Amino acid sequence: MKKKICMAMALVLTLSMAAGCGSGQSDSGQGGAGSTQAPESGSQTQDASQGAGGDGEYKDTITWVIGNDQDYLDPQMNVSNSKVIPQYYDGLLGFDSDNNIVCKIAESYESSDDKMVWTFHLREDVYFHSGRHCTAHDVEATFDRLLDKENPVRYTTNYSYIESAKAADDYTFVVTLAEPKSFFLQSFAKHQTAVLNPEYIEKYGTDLGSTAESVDGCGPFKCGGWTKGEEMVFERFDDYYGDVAQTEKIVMKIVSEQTSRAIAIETGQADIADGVSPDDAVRLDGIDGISVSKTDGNGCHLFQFNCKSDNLPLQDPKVRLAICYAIDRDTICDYLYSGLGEKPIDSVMAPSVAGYTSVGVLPYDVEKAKALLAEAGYADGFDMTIMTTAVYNRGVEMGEILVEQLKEAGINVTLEVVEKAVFSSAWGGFTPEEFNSQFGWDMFIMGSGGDADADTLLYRIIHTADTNINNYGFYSNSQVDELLEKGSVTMDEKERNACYEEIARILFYEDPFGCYMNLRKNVYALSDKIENFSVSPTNTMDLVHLRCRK
Amino acid sequence: MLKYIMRRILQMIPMMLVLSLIVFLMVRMIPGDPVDLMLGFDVPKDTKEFERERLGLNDPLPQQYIRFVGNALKGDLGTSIFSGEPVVKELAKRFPKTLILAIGGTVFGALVGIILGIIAAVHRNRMADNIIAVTSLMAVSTPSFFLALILMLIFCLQLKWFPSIGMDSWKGAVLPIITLGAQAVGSIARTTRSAMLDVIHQDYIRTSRARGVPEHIVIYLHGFKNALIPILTAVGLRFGGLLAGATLVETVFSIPGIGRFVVDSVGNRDYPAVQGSILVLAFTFVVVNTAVDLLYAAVDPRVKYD
Repeated sequence: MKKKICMAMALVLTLSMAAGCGSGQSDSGQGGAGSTQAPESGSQTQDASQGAGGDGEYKDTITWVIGNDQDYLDPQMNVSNSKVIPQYYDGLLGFDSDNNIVCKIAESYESSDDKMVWTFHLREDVYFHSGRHCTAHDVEATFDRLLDKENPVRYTTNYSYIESAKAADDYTFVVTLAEPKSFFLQSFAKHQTAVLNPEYIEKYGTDLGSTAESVDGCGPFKCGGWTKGEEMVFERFDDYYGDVAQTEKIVMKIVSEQTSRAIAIETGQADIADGVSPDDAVRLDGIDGISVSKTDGNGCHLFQFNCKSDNLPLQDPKVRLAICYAIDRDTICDYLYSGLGEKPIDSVMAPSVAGYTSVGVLPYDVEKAKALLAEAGYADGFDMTIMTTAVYNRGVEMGEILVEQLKEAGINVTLEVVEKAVFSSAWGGFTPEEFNSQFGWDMFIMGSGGDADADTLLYRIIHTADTNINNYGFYSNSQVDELLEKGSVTMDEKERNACYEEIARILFYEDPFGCYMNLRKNVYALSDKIENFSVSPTNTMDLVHLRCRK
Repeated sequence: MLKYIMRRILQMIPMMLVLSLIVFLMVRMIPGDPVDLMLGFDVPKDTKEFERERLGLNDPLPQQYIRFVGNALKGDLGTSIFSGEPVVKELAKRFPKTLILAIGGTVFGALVGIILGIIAAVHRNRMADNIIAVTSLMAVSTPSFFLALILMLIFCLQLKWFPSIGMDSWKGAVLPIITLGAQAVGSIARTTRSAMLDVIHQDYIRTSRARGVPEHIVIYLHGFKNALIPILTAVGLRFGGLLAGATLVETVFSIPGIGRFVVDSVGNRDYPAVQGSILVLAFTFVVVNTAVDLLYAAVDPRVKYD
């Protein structure tokens, strides 16, 4: 007993430290750049068959604890993450758990030779949860809402390349582009294009997706209830045209405290815990009856530069490069993320993103950093400000390490830790002058990733722009701009990949846009009774095949 | 008595008005605004401006304040920017849970605190007194999230007696109430001890003992009754502290109460939700304190309110 108490006390100390470090876990992948999907590797399936026992006794309800709730259940407005929308809604195309593009509501599709006209042939057995039969006219109504420039939704600008999107008959839908786009299919597989019920568009308007009642999709689950900040219920949709979900009900409970989520899975109150901390991941992995799934995501952390900062050294690419060389990413990953197995990233995108080529992890080289600073005329160093926030997992600790590491190169950093509200208010169309006077950060933490394609990931955030609506740090490089423009219209994969490799090389070794840090993992703690667990690199769980032994 | 109650109610009006103004201004003084958080980034400034206009956030502050007070007087605390639900409805959903925690915590804290305080006073400067002094100090200085985690580890993980998250049944309320109440135990025990020490040296106690009245009656009936006024004050004040302290406990035990709602709403800069919650919490606190004042008369007939 004494031993147990001692162990419990030791555990408490560890836990309390974890709790003290804060519930920094958050879904920050969407933070920087878009929020969608990606192909290849990473996804992991813990197959049912192993250890299933074959008793055929499965729970009717699976409980999944998660840190944050959703903002809207409207695919055209949701920015939270891609965990929930794909469960309720389906589009013409989608991604499988390995993030390959697959047909959903569309049975097949073809394009004209010039890739300007895409024709989708719809399945005839698709129904909305409300019972309405889904046709191409519903898809047209969905796109009318998505593309409406007069009353834009959040993702309207992402699809501005579409000239028209019309139903040719009940089961044929034709999309005409203004110019061919290499990422077209990727962007059509995103949840933003999920089909909506026109009656609901009419009835709920901008309130669509703000309550459980206003959700009506063609996805594998119906929304069985949503108490904001508390829980959301996924109910099996029996008339789904694809595989019908194996579990009748999945309850997503919001438990904001990371440590409480870990304890919930230990006590058996939860079957799946989402977003466990590095410390909890190590601890839980050693407990009988619990396993921790760590799969490659397609997001990464980075610290972006304010390339038009009032602080002149930051405007010099050599200084920015010096900062990148002065950061020891291996130490940061070992110290902060070893429990999750996260490693430094070797490109400006994850390996799961279409267009990825490795350009190598930028080496840690303080001498080179000092030499570059001397070349730029700052041999004695300079002062700068870095903003960070706990919105990103261990974002504050990472900022603190940067302060110490940059000191080695003679750079004196003031760290500014802000909360989510301040962080969110800094982006959205400021000019450099406005941004510098209101915020004045020389570098700031950001998440990048979420998109399955290099174009949709990079174009918005690094192509020259007047304001920081997407290009948060006012980055501008004419060569990069040209390569981005070329990449978006180049249909030949090899040629296209070469564009993005060159962009990655420039951003890593010549004119940095930010200091790329660690490639993120999708981390879940699971009860050993869970079967068929699978999560895609975009962090979408396959709830359809998920089941849990009693 | 009635006159006194009326006077207290009238006093509440200017107090609530001043409080509403302070909360209204403070919540707007912190950087960041709800629209940025609601729409996320990558949204053009124009769209955000349109949304601010729609929510009335661009109106002059005095106009916004008058609208808020005017509606509050009609029982309408506005609509939560994030959930889109009326704040009154949101609070009605959460308030009972927080109230259960605060009342439970107060009762637990008062019971344990008073018993420990009396024992400490009776055994003044002896071992029991010292142990209770140390225990009280520990109870006051242990952060509630830390205590919550220890309790979770022992009672949820090891013994599996109670659930670690949620408050779907009475079982879910036990650990949060103990966590909250522990904060009050220390201060109530100390107050009880000193109040009892004052009393047990009074002449009438000595007289009772001389008359041969059993010691437990002397202490618990004659002594305790007369020490009740400062104890009641301490308990009443702790109730307010527990209402506020529920925030951390609700977060750790994942209980959707008003405390967690306030924290989430401050994080989201959900102005109507923060204003409404603070007003309701403050109102509850004032009502409880008024009730405590009235109780003075009940426990001590010498107290008169007219």
